[in-house]
Amino acid sequence: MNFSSVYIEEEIAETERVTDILERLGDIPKIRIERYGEIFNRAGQNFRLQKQAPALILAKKHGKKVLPAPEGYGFEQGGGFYFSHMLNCLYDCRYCFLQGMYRSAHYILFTNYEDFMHDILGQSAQAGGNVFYSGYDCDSLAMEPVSGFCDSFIPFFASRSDMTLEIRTKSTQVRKLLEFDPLPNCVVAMSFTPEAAAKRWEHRVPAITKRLQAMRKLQQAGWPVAIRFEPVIAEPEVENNYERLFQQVFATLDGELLHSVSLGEFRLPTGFHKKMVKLYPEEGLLARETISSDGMVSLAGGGERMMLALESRLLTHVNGSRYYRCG
Amino acid sequence: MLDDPVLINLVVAHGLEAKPLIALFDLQPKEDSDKVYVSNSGVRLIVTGMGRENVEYSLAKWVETKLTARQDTAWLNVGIAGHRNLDVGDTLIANKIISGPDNESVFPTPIIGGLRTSTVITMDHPELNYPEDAAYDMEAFAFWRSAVALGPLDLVQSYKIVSDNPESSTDKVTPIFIAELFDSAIREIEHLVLQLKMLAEKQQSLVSDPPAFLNAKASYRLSVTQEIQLRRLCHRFYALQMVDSLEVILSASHRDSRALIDALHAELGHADENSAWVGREDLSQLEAGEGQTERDQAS
Repeated sequence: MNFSSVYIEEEIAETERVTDILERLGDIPKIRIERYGEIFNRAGQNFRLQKQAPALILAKKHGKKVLPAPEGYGFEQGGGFYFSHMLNCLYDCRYCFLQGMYRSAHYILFTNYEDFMHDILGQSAQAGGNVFYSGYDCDSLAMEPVSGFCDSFIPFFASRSDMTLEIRTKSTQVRKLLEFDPLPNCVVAMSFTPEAAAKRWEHRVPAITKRLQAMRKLQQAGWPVAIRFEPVIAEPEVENNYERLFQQVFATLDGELLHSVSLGEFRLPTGFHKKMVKLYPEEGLLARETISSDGMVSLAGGGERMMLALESRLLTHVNGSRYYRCG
Repeated sequence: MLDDPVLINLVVAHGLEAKPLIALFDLQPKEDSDKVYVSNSGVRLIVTGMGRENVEYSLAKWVETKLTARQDTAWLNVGIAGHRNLDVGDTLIANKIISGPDNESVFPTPIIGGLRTSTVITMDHPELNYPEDAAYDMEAFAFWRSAVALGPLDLVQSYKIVSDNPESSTDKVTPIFIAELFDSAIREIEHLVLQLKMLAEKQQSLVSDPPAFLNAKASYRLSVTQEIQLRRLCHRFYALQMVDSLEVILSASHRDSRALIDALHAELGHADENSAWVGREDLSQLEAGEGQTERDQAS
């Protein structure tokens, strides 16, 4: 895990967690800043250029830390919440909305975990929402050796069995999780696209076989694991490609033990798509015909019938009670 | 092709700092000026004079009088600086630049690897006491502030050679000494310039108009909206590796620009049907001559 530099907010620079993280990072340039926004939110930055040598920003999250999950995001299908202790991702997936969302490709790690936990408790008490998603604006596990996310949040949820945590990831960094006893209320959800799509668009992401092995280890250790077949990108061979992926997944994992399985089509807010096109004008995926509806863009070649076809194939591998469509 | 082949602007305060760069990059004075030099290898050098006011004035004046600002060239400030802890001759690239008088900070993007990094503090007068573990100069802050208005923020950088420290005072900084400092750093500067040029070149290629678009633009009367549409359509043909189809359409005769744009849209729509998912039901419909879908154009 290489960072070009680490920026540190003055307010948290002397905290124990930041000191620990800096020790783990070793000898890289360390730069003090007042607020992360003076780096991350500046106009005129180029996400693509920065992605070549991203820096880590250690910051304190102010304001709302727990937000309602987008409609159709998760398995509870409404009423869930998400929190982002990180912004941006180690990986470089060409379809990812983060490229269109942020001005900077630097990674932010908010280190005031206890404030997140406080707000999670508050949200749970206030709205009765008990499902919390991590990994919406980042990959929750990819930076585990630096962030120590599991060390803090697994014990927190271990003592609160009425709440559920979903950790969404494409990472194989499961060693830390395996050091804990499995939690029935902590779901590790791995995203997959078929081999051809992964090779073409998922840069720096571990191979499908390695990710499946990581999931298998977790499942064998007793952790609830989930599979997110997202984003589905329409292609002529999409059905056959997904059939091969389904066979690979369900040959490695026990479908009867899966917490949940989902399919979700490639969709982006229109504004994000426009920004991504500017960043990657030579990218074929972003040059394809699109359909705009309600401020969202999807590929013209996909749609409901494609999703139904994939669902019907998927449901030959897994019980329908475990399936949901990610909207 | 680009009208202006410049990929990087080097900014120095003094003629003594300019001299080794002029030799290194084979720079020639532009329009009889002793302040601006250019090469045929994409390098421009601007000599601003010492201190923040000269930098601000010089860059503002240059932009105003010479050419419109380009958004895709790199900017590199090269100069000498004092440092409390570094040896004379050590080099660094700024990762934080502080305006000494008012303590305001800016942060060059750490996009260049392999070089020592440091805070640079820009003072109005030479700093002889070196109170912080930082480099002290008289231009970097003003340079950065001016240059980010002219180029991509991530490609604005400041490089310093340590000329003085508590053991070696500014009295020793003579013209000969400056020449020696630059001599010892010249390969590193060359490499740094090369890296920034490559990044700028990549940027320019991404924002440049496709050749096919330029040809079409010259052949048709386009409204502003049509120009945007046509540029994007051409980009899409290139991205989808359909340049041959694009050239066929562009070489055909079209009634007007609207007809050209419609033809390009139609070709892309047809191609996308070939890359779309086709279910069994759709196959039977296509065989029966059906299967048309309504599409929005993202261009």
